[in-house]
Amino acid sequence: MIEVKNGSVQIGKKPILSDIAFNAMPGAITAIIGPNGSGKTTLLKAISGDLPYGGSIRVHGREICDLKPWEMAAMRAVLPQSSSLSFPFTIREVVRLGLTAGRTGVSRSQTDDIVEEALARVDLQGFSARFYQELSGGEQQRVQLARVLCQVWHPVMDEMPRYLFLDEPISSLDIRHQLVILDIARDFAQRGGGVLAILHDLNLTAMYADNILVMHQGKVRDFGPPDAVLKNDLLQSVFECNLRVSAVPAGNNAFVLPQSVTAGKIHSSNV
Amino acid sequence: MLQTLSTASHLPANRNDTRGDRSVKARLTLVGLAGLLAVTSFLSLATGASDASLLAVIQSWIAPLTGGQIELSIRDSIIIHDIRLPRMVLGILVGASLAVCGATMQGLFRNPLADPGIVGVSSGAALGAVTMIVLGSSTLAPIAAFLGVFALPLTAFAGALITTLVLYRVSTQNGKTSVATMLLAGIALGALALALTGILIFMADDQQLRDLTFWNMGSLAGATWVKILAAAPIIIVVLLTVPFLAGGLNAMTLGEATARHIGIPVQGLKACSILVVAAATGASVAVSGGIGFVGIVVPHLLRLLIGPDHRYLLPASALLGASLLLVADAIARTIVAPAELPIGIITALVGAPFFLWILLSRRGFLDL
Repeated sequence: MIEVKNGSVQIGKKPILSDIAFNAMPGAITAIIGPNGSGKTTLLKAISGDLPYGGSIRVHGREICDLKPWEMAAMRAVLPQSSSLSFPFTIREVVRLGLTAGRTGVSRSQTDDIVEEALARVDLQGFSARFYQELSGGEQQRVQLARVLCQVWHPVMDEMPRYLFLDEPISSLDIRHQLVILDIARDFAQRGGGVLAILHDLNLTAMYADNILVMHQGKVRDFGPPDAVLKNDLLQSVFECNLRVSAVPAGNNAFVLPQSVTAGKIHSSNV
Repeated sequence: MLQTLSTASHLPANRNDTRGDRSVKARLTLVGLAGLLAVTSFLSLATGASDASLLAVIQSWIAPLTGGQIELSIRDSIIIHDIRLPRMVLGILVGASLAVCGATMQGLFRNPLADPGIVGVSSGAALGAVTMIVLGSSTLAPIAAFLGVFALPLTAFAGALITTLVLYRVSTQNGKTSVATMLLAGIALGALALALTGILIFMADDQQLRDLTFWNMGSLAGATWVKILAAAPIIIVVLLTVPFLAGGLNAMTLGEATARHIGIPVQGLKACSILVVAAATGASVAVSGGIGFVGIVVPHLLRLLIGPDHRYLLPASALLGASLLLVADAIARTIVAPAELPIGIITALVGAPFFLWILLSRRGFLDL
């Protein structure tokens, strides 16, 4: 379990986050939503161990500022918002990096198979010899997810649930791959791991999240299951726009809501 | 996207390999490079201004094993054993050191153009060495006498280390190193070291000036067993240490934050890399002066050939760097025989256009 109590982050003298308190449970997807600049990424960075913080942030009961990088790496993997690569590695080599350091629970002989399977999960079979810099932004994002998945290949290791931290994992993806990626997250949670994801798409958040943390101006505005959190008043005041939950828009505007990836190779390989 | 198209053109092609695993190719390349080093070492022993016959020497080595006895002329023996052999050994040590320092620094800075020569570490080492050359017989005479043959390498090491530590201090805040600040600070420190070196050169007498000019351009001439004794321990320790940094440097390719997320102790990796580079650069500069571009050319060529995996790139750089320097040295001492060119001129003549070519081919690719 990830427990945040009285969490705060300052950058310079400027407070970015204050009074943060919530728990992210294993076996569940915890979504973080909120407008731009509300502190979502800062919160995820603090929990990832990238920023000095005030208060308490514990993973499995251990304060994260006391953990060594390799101890943290065995507990959670982090998908950043965007990644650059300074040298021309092949896709296979990039994904392999997820398996190179620390305790991954994967033996050396399994490495090749797991790299291939991770690529298949993110719908990139046959890409392993391509160069990272050749791919489109969305494809690069999926390669990074495959790398992150390798790092926590077993959602539970030595009876310890592990976590996926995803910062806007679907922001640059088409609608099919948004569903593919969130299916992977759901599968990870169902197999006993925990997922903490920053999401912008409220429909997909409602479909996939077990708990939603609503951030606003550096504070937690609400925390709870989708039914309890996704209310007109709250969302209107947080996002400062007119919206209505579960209501067909007035007029004849078309609207498209994703349902699921068609039962095909991708969906079946995730389950 | 236009940018994507233009980047594809300079990426190495390995379409034959459908799995994107270059480790077999890398291992074969390592074997090939070891063979190449054997050949270039032989070449280095066999070429020179005099006609001393290497064959005769080898016969004189082998003969006792088969019970025979072949007398080598004293002149040939001296030329081979006391001039060419130490020169070859020094060439291997310095070439390996320069290339490995380049590859390590490029991995650390996530930039193929980073090199001790560029971030001012070499200039700092040179300042240390020049200080000892010019003031060693006057102001610093007691220290020079105390340190003996180690005076030059140790002052160069001190210069490199001080430069690197200042660089680190300036560019590190809250335990995080900014690569951009470090590169810019390196330019400033390099300029400062160069200016201070200039003052010392102004104070030097004629003989010192001759020493300095030759040394400044870089040369393996004057290689002696004593010099090797002074530099070899440092360089060998560094060459044995860098393989342990390879996994961390690979992860650094994804950025510092991601490397930490994967489990790399990034601050420790940085500190270790910096120390290692300063030590090897100091030792190399002390014994051979400023030999440029080896640290940029060698790792770049190898990345095109076997990819950027540091587990292979670092040892391959050591082997190819050593070979390249031996060849450059062989050219330097035969092209204008019986005189010889400073080797730094040869490496710069080849390396500087190469550097521009890297810039040209990466233009619009990464943010350099």
